[in-house]
Amino acid sequence: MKRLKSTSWCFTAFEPYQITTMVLLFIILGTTLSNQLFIKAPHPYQWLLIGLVVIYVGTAMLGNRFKQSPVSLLVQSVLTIAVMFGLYLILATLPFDIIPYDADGVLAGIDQVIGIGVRPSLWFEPFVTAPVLNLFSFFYAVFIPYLYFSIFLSLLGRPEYEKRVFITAFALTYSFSFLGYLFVPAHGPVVFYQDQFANPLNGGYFHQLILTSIEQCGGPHGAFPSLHVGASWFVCFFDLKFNRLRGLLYLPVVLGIVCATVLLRYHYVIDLVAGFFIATVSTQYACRRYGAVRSAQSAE
Amino acid sequence: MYRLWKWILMVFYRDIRLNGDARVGEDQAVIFAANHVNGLVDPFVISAALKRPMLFTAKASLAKNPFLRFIAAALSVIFFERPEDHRLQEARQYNAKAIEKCLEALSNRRSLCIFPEGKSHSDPAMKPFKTGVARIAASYLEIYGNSPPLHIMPVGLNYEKKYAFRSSITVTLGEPVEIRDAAAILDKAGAKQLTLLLEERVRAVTTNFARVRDSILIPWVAELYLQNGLAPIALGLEAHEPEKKVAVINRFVQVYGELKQDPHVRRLEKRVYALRQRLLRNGLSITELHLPIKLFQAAFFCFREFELFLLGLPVWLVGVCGHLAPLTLVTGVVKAVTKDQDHWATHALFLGFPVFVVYYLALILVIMVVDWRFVWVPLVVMPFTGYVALLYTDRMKQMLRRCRTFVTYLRHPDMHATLKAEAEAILHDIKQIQERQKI
Repeated sequence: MKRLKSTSWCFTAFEPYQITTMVLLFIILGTTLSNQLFIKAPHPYQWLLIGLVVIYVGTAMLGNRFKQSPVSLLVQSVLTIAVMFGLYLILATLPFDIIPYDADGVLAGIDQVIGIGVRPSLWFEPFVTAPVLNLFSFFYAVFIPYLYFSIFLSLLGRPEYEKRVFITAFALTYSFSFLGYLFVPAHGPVVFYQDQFANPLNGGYFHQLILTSIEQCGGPHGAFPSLHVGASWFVCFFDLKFNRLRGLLYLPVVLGIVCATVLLRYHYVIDLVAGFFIATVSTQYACRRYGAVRSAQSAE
Repeated sequence: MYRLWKWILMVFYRDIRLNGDARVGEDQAVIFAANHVNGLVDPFVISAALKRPMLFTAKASLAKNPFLRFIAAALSVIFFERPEDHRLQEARQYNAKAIEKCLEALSNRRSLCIFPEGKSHSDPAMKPFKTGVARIAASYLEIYGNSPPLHIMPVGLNYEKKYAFRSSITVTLGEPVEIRDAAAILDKAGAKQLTLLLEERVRAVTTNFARVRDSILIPWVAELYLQNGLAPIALGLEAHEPEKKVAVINRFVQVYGELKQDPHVRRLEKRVYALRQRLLRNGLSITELHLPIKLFQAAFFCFREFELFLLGLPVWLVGVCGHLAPLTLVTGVVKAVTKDQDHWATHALFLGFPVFVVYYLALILVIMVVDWRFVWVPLVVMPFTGYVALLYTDRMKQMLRRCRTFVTYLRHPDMHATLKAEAEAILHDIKQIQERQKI
């Protein structure tokens, strides 16, 4: 297959996923710095973020000199994923430290409108018995191996065009979601409705596994939008386009993850809608973007 | 309706690919002229590939069958009497009305699809075209003065194996036939000339062979040529663009026709035949001849396929068990009534569709009587598992074939080396002929 040439996008020779990641890094760093200048003392993550920016931009500039090399694409992709996962850990606490408002009330209000007066998280409570909780905890936990497997398979076993689509859609989905985490900080129903739930969730093995994992990742992250829905739907949607059998086989799992986020009280319904929308738009954009490049090059 | 056709076709065929712009001639007066190789399946394929409703022409004797009459009404078929089926005078009168319908449709900027060969067949080459398209075009120009402008678009239908379940189809759009001078086709000679030009254009986008033997060997050599000594691509991906394959086959047919008597070409033909036989004997495919025997790649392959195998197995079981009864019925009846390859797919599709619809309706009815809350099972779970079972079966077949090839090569490295060397030598000779012929 013909190797994809570098194309001019915006004003630079960087690929869309590199630009997206850089812009995201600059936005998060900028927000942290502005917070330091006007409100508080320096944030502990500030130097880590500056380090990430320097490493990412430097590697991207260096990598673009060897753009035709598949190894360069792999290294860039792995670095982009590493940066995103690093930012995920940072964003567990950062928004709540530097953004002076909480969006839970607004999100809960929207949820109530969507549910026509009913609050979905509260409404589902009586149905969440121990086996149901454990089953959906399993789905919620499956997200991590599903995502890691998909990244591994997509970056190693697909043609170059599809790898670029994958990493671009990944970067866009995560970037938009992180902007949501940063500027719409919310703890989710598990905290916001804390006093209104009749009982705390108490499940079996898988539920305990989730609670432990969340603790180890720095506690509950932002709720808006749901990255569990966004990332799993992006991977599934990508597979439906390029590897239909895998996409279809994981579709019920993704549906399970979607339901689990609400049943386990981590997200409002609007978070799911936003996650779904971001993933769909990002994947479609990536497909069109590289589809157009590929068509132009085959025409040549 | 074309979406429904596509869904139905996608059960029988694995893939319908269009080479060309699906929007060509949209909202314009267009006549699509295609080769006719697969009975009543052909019009469905064209409509599904071009993603638009269109009118079709067919022999009037089909309308005698009430079921086909119903299908024809859904497909907007215009019937023509064939002189061999009817008395000439009556046929002429009947056809004059049919032509009027065609002209009316074209003047309303609708697409019309015609199979100028007149009948479906399994011959290795196209039959001579009848002058129907030219006659319709001439009448259109005479009555409507080429407003809206008429386009004649050649269409090539290339089936991987038209009778084979889960094979693929490529629909290729050819170079349009321009009618610059309307007066030129109004007489008989002009109509003949237009027909010949159209035939030539359709020939360019279809594969045509002098003998049945050639229709087996030449595509095989084209596959070897396109593979060009490269490793097979990952499962689930298309090896190369199908229009490329049609072009290569047509080039080979042309060169082979010219050099058939050349002793060098005759020797090469024998070697190709011997290599093919040897691969067939060992259950190997030409596309997997250069399969690399590398541990990391094999491990990655196992990892990827094992995930699909494990995850898909329960879904496949549900899908197969859920559809076994209607599938067995359809296969049994089709086997009993079909005598040639030409009608296998037609019978399977036209029988399968009502049988499966009735089966689903019966299931829904039974479940509604037993417990209506489970009505989503036949509505969602059954079609889902059925479709996944089809894809899963395709994939597992490919996977098993590749595994077998890998194990064969691993066990017999000498045989692998010999086969590869022979294939490379043949490829080298083909390229030499190419250079000699300056193609």
